Amino acid sequence: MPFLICPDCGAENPLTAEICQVCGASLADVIPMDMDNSEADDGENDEFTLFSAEDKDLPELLNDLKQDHEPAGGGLPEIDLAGEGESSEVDDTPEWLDVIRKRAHEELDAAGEMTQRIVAAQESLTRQNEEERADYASWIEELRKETREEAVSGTEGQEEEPLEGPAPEKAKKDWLSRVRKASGKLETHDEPNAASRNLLDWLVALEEEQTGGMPSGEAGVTQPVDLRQRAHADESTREVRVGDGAQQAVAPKRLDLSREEREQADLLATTIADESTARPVQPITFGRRRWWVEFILAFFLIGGICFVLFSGRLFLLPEPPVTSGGQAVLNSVADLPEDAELLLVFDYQPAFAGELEWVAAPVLEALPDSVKVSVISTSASGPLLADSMLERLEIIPAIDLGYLPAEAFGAYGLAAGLASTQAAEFLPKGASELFEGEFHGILILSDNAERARVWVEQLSVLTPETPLNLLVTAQAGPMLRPYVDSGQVTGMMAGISDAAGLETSRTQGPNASQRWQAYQVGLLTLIGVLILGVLLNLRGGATQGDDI
Amino acid sequence: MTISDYIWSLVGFLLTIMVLSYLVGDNFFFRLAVHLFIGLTAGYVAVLLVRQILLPQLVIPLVNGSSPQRFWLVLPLALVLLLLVGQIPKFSAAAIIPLAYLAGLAAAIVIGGAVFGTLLPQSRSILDAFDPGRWYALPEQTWLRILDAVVMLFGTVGVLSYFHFGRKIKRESQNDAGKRPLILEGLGKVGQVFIGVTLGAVFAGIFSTALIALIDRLVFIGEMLTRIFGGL
Repeated sequence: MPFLICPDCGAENPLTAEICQVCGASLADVIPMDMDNSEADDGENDEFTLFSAEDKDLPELLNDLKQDHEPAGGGLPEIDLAGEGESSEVDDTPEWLDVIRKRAHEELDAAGEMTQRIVAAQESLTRQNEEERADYASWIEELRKETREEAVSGTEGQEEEPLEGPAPEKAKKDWLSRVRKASGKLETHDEPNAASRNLLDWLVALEEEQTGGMPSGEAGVTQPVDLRQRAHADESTREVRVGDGAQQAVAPKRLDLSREEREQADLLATTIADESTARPVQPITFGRRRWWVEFILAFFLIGGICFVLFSGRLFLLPEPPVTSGGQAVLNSVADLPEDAELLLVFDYQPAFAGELEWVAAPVLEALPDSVKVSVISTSASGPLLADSMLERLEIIPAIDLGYLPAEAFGAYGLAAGLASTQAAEFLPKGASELFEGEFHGILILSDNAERARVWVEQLSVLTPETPLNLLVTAQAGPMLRPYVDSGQVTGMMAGISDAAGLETSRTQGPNASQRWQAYQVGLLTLIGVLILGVLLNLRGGATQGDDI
Repeated sequence: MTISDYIWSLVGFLLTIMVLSYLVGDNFFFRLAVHLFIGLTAGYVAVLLVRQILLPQLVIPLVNGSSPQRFWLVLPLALVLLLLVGQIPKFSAAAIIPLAYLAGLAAAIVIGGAVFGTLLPQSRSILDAFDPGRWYALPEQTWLRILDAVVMLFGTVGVLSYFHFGRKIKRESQNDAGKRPLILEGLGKVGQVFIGVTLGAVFAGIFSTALIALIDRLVFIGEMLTRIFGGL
């Protein structure tokens, strides 16, 4: 009678079944088998009729096997393939059960109705177990018989070959051939000297694979053998190593983990799983822009500044004082000797040109006409900015040392050149000019505290006698103030607040005063905006995503 | 004003307006101006390096210089060639030598400057603040100078304590594992105040600088508009 053999668990299923009745695996691609024909074709598989004839699938047999032997030892039965051991055909019915059973047979009302039912149920279960044990015992007996026959034939043909060699292998091959036929093209090869115990091990592994109980992850054993997947994945013949995995499954290694290690492992597994999780691509959002708020603030800021700048009116705002730093710079420039050489270092970006021109104008305009001005730039746009400023102030530089790409090297080279008393004729023109310079004063125009500090560090150490003055932006001023206090820098003008006093006192023109007042109006507006923002946040709280 | 100056002033005016248009949000004109600035800056720097560095300090001395000058150019020329060869992936190791030379030299210069130009002079400045001669130089400012010296001392020690990343040698409990000694904790709090004041001053300076840049641009726009419509 044809039937379907489940490729996963090996259970036999009727032809009409679409899924395995035992494990639920799909039987869609399974080829029906006729056991009679196959056995007739093979002619050597008589011993395996035990499974098909009794409609006994492997997991059930294995479970029965385990249950029968659990009271004795709890493990799998030892199969004495050499035929020297005793069979397990021992009725291990408890004595008390026999007594109850005997009394129940002799006295129908001795134990009452409930007891009789229980006894009947136990007897039924016992009979069923006995039948199953008989099936298993007969299977074992057949295996043993076959082993003896093979041992005898093997001894005749090759005396040195171990007894447990080909006999179980043959049986296994025969049984597996049906699975192979059912599942298609897969053909398994076992090792020539594999013990017959591997068959039981394989069954255990197969059962655990079927029930999903293979502790491969914990014990670190090989992955469960998926016959169908391997058959579909590789059309050619492949070797399936079932022995190792089965042995590991019988005696799985326990991985002792502490709670912390387990949490870390879980965290790692979660992280790895999360990395490969598909996520929708979300566009970057900068929150809801309150453009009308920006527009109103810009209107007030720009409108207020423009009104002060272009109205031509002067308001009663305080005049800027002349700071000590600014006065020191002016004094240093005024004290320059006749025909002195002054070095101007241009080290700022075009965005700060307006502020630095305002800061430098009163100083450069106070220069005596006899002073020779040399120019060097350490920013890329420095040469252009120098030309623009000096042209506006009508100052013609005597020497243009050009552009130095690295201010640290340039500052060191210049300072070393000033400190050196030897001529450097062997150097190229630009470098030799740098080394041969002899300046009576140095003015550094910078918008960056770090770059200005490099100049101060090198020049104040190598040429401490040369007066060094800083003309910097307001943002660079606070970080450079300590160098003024320590005396390394002669004077410093930082930002418009230092320059405005000199500018207004020197020119007394409406232009400087109006710029200063525009600056004050803008500063007051910005302070108002900051206070307004703080108050709004205090009242409503800052909400994420709102970008004012 | 010449025609050329007028045209370039007009270009500057339009670019300023395009940048300021960011006030109403990101737009095509703002991006156009930004891309224009980036491209012009890259091209300008390339030309600048060739004209003011490579030609006058390397190529021309090699051609027209004296023998000592040529000899002294062998080393930088070799470093330049190694750097160029290092751009080929197969010979990328060749670039290690010039880069190592640059890094080592820069480190030596910067460290030397930091130690002798900042650390020692600033330490000496703090000590000088406690010079009694300075305190009593101006009798009316004696207490002010003493207060100045004390504040400077507390500020310096506090900031240094704040950046002290140590821990207790003798731990009294498990909670003391990551804590610093109590005195450093207290001084670190004082240092936090000084750091906050310093950063506030820097922040105000940035505001001030940005405001002055805005005023400068507004003045430029006003002058340009006056030129354009003044003749009408």
